[in-house]
Amino acid sequence: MNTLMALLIGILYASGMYMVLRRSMVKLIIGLALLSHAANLLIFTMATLRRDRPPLIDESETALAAPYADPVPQALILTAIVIGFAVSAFAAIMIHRVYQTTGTDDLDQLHTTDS
Amino acid sequence: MNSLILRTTTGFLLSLLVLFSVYLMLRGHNAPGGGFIGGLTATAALTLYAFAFDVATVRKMLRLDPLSVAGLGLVLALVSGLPGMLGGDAFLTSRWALLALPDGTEIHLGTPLLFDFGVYLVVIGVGCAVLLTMAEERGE
Amino acid sequence: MVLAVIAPALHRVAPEQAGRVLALAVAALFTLFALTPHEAAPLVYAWAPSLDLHVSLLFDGLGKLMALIVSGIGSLILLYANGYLHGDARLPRLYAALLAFMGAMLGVVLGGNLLFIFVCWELTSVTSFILIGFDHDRPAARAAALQALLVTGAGGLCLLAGVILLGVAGGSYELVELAAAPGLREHGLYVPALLLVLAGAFTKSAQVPFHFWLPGAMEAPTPISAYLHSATMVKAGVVLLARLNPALGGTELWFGMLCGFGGATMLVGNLGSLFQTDLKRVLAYSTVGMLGTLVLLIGIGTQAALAACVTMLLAHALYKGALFMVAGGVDHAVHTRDATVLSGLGRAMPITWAAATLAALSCMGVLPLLGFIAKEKSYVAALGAPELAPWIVAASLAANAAAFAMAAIVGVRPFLGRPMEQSEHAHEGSFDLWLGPLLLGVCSLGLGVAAGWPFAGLLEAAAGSVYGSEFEVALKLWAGTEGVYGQALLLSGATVAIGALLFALRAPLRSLAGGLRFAAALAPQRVYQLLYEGSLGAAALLTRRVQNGLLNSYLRTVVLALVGISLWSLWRQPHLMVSFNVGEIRTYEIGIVALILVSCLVAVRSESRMAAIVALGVAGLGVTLLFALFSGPDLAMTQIMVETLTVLLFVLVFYHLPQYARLSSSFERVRDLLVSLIFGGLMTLLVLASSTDILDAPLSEFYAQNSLVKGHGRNVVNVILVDFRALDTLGEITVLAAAAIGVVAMLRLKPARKEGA
Repeated sequence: MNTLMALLIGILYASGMYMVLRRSMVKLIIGLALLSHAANLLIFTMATLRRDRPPLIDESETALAAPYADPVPQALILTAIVIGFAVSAFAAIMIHRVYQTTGTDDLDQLHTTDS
Repeated sequence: MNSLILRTTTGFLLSLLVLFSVYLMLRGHNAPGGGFIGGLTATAALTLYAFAFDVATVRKMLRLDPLSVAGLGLVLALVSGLPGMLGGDAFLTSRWALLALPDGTEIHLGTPLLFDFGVYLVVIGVGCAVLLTMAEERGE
Repeated sequence: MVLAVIAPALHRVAPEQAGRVLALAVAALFTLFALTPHEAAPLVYAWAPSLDLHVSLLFDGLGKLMALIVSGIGSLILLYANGYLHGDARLPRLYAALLAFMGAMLGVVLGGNLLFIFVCWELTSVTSFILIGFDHDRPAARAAALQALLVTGAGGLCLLAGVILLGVAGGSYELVELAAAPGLREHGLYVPALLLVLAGAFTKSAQVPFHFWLPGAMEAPTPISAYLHSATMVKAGVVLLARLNPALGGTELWFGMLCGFGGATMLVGNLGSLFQTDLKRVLAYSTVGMLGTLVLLIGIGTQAALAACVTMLLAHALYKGALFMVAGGVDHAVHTRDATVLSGLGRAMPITWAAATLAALSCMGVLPLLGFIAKEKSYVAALGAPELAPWIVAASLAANAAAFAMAAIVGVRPFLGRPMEQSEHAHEGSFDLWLGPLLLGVCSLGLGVAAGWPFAGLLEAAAGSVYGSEFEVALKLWAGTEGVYGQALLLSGATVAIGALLFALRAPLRSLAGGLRFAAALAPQRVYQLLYEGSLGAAALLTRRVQNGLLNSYLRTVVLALVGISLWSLWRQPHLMVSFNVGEIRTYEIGIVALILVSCLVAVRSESRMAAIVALGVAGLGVTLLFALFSGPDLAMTQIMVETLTVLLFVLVFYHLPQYARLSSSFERVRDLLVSLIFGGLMTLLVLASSTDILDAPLSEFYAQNSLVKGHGRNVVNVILVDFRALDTLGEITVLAAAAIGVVAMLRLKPARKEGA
């Protein structure tokens, strides 16, 4: 399964990067979303994939019985997902404003402002 | 989106979904759920309502500005860190109290619950701020 | 201790009489220094012990002498500034900068730890930059300030490198310990360390070929020039060399470098001063020359030379400070500093005249003044040099003769002769203006006649601390005519004769040498200018090339660099294992992966935005399923909610945005596709290469064990979020709130559409 996940992550990264490299800002956003999926899956895969061993302590136990899916990366990813949402929202709305102000969504036409 | 069916069902759904989100939030400590998930669910419910009726209705229902909700959440989360600090430990060290109900069940109440509630409010506030404002933008 | 005395004084700059009050305060400091007995042991306060950085104050003979010079002349300068810039709104700023400088300078001269000295050293550079550029609305002042900062700053960097090398070689940054460190001179790092330290000291003390910044620094108002660029700051380099003499001195290299550069500077500076007409520039060149002499004397390193060095240091501070203030006073009175024009001011400004005469006589080295003793001593030292004595003597003779002529030009000539036109308006300046030079002039005389009486013991101690051990310094006005003393006296006579001749010939000299020599002396200035403009140009070119403002070219660079670095380090990994683990795949899992892949491709290829968004949503759903399958229920729930909201938001936003247009050429598409594929391939490789239990750390085990016991929760992920790592979560929700505020602000606040924005 790792191999399959590795392939999947690679393709997610590649397509996200390709989208980010486009000149359209809309594609940039979609690319960002794909990249964040890729990153989350990357962390998830790095910490051993386990089926049906969620990090929940059984009613009968006082500690998590091994083997369990690592809770630390999961906490990490959970935050990352939410932050990713905030970033996407922020970026999307910024692009919306940029388009309203400049009338273009071509990134290459925006470069004069900062050089 | 002026569908009567949508409006009617959403009316029911909203209260159910918000209730569910609070449930998710509360049970988060022992089962899948928590402030983030609960907050997101509530946001989704409110957004759905905004689509069925309109944004103004939702805003009226919230009473507070979404950003104020988020601010309130932040304050709650901060406050939840104080008891630990007052007790001489590091900021945000948890404190627990056992609440015994008359029927014999015991409930653990602790600062982390308050903290999670803060997270819940922040997520609702942020989600609503973003989506509602954008939805208004669209209406213009 | 010293800095603490200075700091509160900084804030008292507001009142009218501030200058006088401050001068008194500094004078009190002077008295304090004078009354404190000097001692060889340093006072140590820990500052940053982990960096071996201590504030250790070394109040030995040299430290005390310099501290007295800095605070004594400092108090007079503050008074002088009060008169010179009377009523100027910028005066408080000047006081503040001067006092800050004074504090830093005291740090340099009293510091016993090389790193501490370096910090103060840099502070003097910075405050000097502020002070030179005091008239910041004049371009010339700004350029001069920048030049001084760049030259001394570059030197400072060399010094830091040198100091660190020394610390490594000697095992300590404490001067006292370094001096005692055995085998430092034979250490492999000795030569580079020495060269770097010398570069620092030479730039600070304006040695050839870095001397050009000092005349430029004369753009500063006179009180500043008088204080920084004659009496104190430029001496920092000399002081540093003197401080390091016990640790580093005595080698061939030390002797050669110091004598070579010092001697060259002595000649260039003193002779160069004769070709100038602006009084302040004349003085500046002569200061350069004097600094050369001091370096030369340290280089010679005999007891006689070091005795001469400290005597000269004191004498020079006294007369050069006075001459600068005189020049400023003259400028103040008749609004010109042109030596060819000034004449006959003596009657109008008798007190200034007296001060000028005393200072000039001391500078010439005429009999009853301190300058005479210093000059005699330097001749004795030159005669006793271990090597090259005849050359050094000849160079000293030429330099001293030139100094004689210079003193005549500045201190005597303007006051004699026919009164010039403007002299009708000339008048004596206020009390503040003449007290300083007069006091210094009287000191030159008094110390000379009394053979340095209150200072004799101090000079001895100072020379001792430069030499490394105490020795006797015979400070006599009349040393007799036997042996070397007789020869020295003879040389003094020759000095006067040649000096007088040079003074008489000054006009033809100026016209004759004006073009040729002047240009040669300025050559390093040209080099500086070229370097300066060159680096600016190169920076601009690089910026245009690299910062082209195109997002995707930045990204491509970053990605390719990342890939390159990662591949390189993977390649160097000795046990690179790419494990293929294809067992245990269930069919529906393949289905989910395929679903993500397909929607991913759709999102990339689709011509329709809505299709792309929907595909993105489906991909997110697939990811959700993966989380759910592999034991991440919280993740799955979060992901699905976020996915829903994201799709909603994107639909809302993209509704307003234009349809896709074909913006990139086919070439760009293929190029970007290649970059992306390489990047994706790398990530796949990384996942395959990383062994799967990297994150199987004790950390997870701790959470697994304590979640219920200490956190009262069975959902470990949630307990981590709201209890164990609650501070991180707090940070996160703060970020969320900030993002929301940003979003609302962007949407709500709509400025009028700007033209061309």
